[in-house]
Amino acid sequence: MIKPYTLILGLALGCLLTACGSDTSSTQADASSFPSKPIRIVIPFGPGGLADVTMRLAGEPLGESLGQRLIMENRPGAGGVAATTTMLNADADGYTLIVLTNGTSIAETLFTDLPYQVTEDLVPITAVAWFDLVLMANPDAGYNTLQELLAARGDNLRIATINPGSTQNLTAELFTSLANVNATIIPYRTTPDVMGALLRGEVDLAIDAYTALKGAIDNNQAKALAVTGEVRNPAMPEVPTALESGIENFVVTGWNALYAKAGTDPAIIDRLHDEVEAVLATQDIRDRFMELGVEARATSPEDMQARLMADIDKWRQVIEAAGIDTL
Amino acid sequence: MDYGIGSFTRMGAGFAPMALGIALAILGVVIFLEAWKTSETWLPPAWRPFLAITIGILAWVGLVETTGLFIATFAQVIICSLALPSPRWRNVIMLAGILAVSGYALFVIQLGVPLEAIG
Amino acid sequence: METLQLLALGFEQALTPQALLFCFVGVSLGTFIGVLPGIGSLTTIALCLPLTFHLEPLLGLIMLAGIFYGAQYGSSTASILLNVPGSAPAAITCLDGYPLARQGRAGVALFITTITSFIGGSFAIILLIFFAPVLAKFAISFSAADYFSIMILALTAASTLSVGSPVKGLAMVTLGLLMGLVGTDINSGQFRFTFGLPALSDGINLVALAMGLFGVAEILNNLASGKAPEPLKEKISFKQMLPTRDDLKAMRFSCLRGSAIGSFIGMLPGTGPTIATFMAYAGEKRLSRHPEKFGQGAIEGISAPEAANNASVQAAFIPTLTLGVPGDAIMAVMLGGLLIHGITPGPQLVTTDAALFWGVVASFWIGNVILLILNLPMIGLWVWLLRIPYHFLFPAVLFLICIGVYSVNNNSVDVLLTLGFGIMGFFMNRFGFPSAPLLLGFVLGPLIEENFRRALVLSDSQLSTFIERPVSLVFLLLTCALLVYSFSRRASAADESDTRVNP
Repeated sequence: MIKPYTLILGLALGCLLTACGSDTSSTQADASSFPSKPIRIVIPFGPGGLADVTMRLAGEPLGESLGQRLIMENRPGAGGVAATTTMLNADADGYTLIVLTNGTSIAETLFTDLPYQVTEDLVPITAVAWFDLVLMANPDAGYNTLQELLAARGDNLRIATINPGSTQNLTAELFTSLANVNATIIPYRTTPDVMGALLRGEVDLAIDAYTALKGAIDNNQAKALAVTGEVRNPAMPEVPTALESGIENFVVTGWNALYAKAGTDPAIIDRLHDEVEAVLATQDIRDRFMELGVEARATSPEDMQARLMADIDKWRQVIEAAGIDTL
Repeated sequence: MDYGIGSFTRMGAGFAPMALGIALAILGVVIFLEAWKTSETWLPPAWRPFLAITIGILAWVGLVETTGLFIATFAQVIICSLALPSPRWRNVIMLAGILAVSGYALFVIQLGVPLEAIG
Repeated sequence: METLQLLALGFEQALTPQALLFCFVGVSLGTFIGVLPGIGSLTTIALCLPLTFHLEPLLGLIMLAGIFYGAQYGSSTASILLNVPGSAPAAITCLDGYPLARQGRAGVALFITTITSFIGGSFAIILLIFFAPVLAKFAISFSAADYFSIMILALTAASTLSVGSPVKGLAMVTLGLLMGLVGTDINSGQFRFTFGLPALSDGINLVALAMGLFGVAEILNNLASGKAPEPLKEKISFKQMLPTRDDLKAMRFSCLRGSAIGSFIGMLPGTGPTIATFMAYAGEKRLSRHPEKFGQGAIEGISAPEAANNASVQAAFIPTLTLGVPGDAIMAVMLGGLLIHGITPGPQLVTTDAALFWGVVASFWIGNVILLILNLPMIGLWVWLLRIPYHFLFPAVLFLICIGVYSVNNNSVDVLLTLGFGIMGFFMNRFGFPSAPLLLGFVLGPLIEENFRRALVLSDSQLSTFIERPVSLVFLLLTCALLVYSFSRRASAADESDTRVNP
């Protein structure tokens, strides 16, 4: 009869050996056989969010063309810290990728004491999705253009956004400084709360991502006065851009992008880039993204990195000017 | 960093923490005085079970992401079982096995929690 | 009547074999998950959401909704049997559910909670069917000042939650309020009490707090203070599982009151079932002629919260479906699910996609029926579970808590927090500090502060806004009435020299 303690020891030893064994078996990934096993995509948000949904939609055809399953891994947490840490614990073999968003560029300034450097420890593959924010007013308030609203309420404008430090909130800060208005930005917890505030007439203007408010706009619960992109949103061609409405230099476009760990074989990066680009160019994906109010568009890795750096600078200035706390 | 107190009608970020902190301090004093009057002494907890559970959970947390769910679960169940005076090890191992396997099936396979079984 | 016609259409949709199948799968999965301590409906839905991407929208919604309200049925099971809540809102069911189990009446407790869950859910569904647009408009009209006053009422009612020294109870509420402030201040963006840790910048995880304070602490209590609870030896006959006539009488109105409170809180965006259950419990205790029974196994103490639980969860669909404004975080995730399928919830959903809307509504009720049929026979199974020796039970429960809490954010720091709160709860119990008020303070604190400050910003720093807005005024008056009532009760109790048990 085997003594229990021996049994336990044996089991533990066996487990340990298996664990060690599986660790030492990872070798430098061979670009020509890539991918030979499923690819993990780490998403710094919970399921159901925009980054999650767009990645899952694109992930299906992408998985097919790569010949391997794509596994989405949600690791939400402030500043994307949990996701990035998970990402950096993996090998630089192209089998673990991460989704970065314009929120990442904001987090670079908000969180100063992180054990990693996003710009150094991660390398871009391509952008995936681009989306605008929308400036909305209550449809019953009777304003048809942004200029009308600003003319009437410019000296005591109330803007609703979600929490401070979010892209939406910082966009509002940028807006107030560039539009030269006297505004109070009132933060709410979630987009639905922002919608509620607008419906109740508590605020004059609400700024949020188009995707989140598409439903409300289509339902005529909110009136889109302007979009924040450089060009008009194809889903709402009659709505002018903020630039067209006279707010100079005010352009904000949110993005999701796919990144890999620094040190990944450039051949693998190129392969991934080309595959994603092909997927994003298909009509089906373009249409499904459009239904969400999002534009599917790939970029070269260099362009993506340039965009990341530019956004980091841009938002750093806004954060400092607005006096938002950093950690 | 602006933890301005502000005024009651224009509260800064620091107002509520300060107000509540003061309230808690006052209550703490009241409780202390109440306790001072009585002559109860406190019973220290039974240290073996206390430590067994604490270390068991710590072991799970420490091991689950590095060595996988199975090893972490085994470690946790085994260590926690030390809380009771004479655990029957055969049962403990069986329990650990059942929990590890069914936990893996439900949480990792079905619900997609990102944990490895081993490693 | 048109509504009835539409309802018939909905039932047609919901009674197809596929719809029934997914409904069944959803509610079963939900109940099962709900029973497991640690993992609550939000996590489950978030985790199951990807599974529904490939389903037709109606089926996906039916399943997700099933998981949602199914979990509420299940979460009280663990509370009653183990004193470990299946989810944060179920923590309150521990207070009277577990004593009932200790008295050998676990079957009765489970029976009552199942029935009242059904009643609560049905109540809210009826509201949804006949009054959804009106109620949704009403709910959305609540502004910051109104929320503040409601929360103040809740907080005042919460002072009844403490057993024993009122000062200690008050201290725990205050501590809970303070702990709720950890994270980012919504009104200014400042980090508070985060100690430089990004992990804390989102605040303390509610699930970690509830599971630690009630789950881990309970196990520590049982093991580290000397004796383990013996498993129930007697065999429970079916007769014994049924409630007595007195029980049913106690259940009658408390369940309706709970349903009303739950529905009301549930349809307000931004509140959750936790607040609803606490308020229902506190309300019962206040209104009861024998408040000292609460905490010892009062039937009202489980029937009202359970009804409120399920009512709030169903009522959360009211603003979600009719206005596209989610009633709480879970609804937001489900809305995300809808958007993926290209469905835009909102007033036009009711008209343009009537089949979908009414199909989902009909499936709610079918789901509740299935749950009733499913759960009643299982009571015997659960009671049998009580006979498992504790030395098997507690490592299993601890394991479930660990992995359940982990799966909320895939973050092991949350599990560490749970352990920390468990230890804290253990010492709190030893020294007579009650846990329930802390949880309530934690949930209410941020809401109270946030809404107070926002109300003042919106009214340009005029305090009068709290009295000028009719809803806010009503709730403030109710709060005053509650205070007056309880003071007068206390005065008359002192007159009667009623001896109160002070543990």
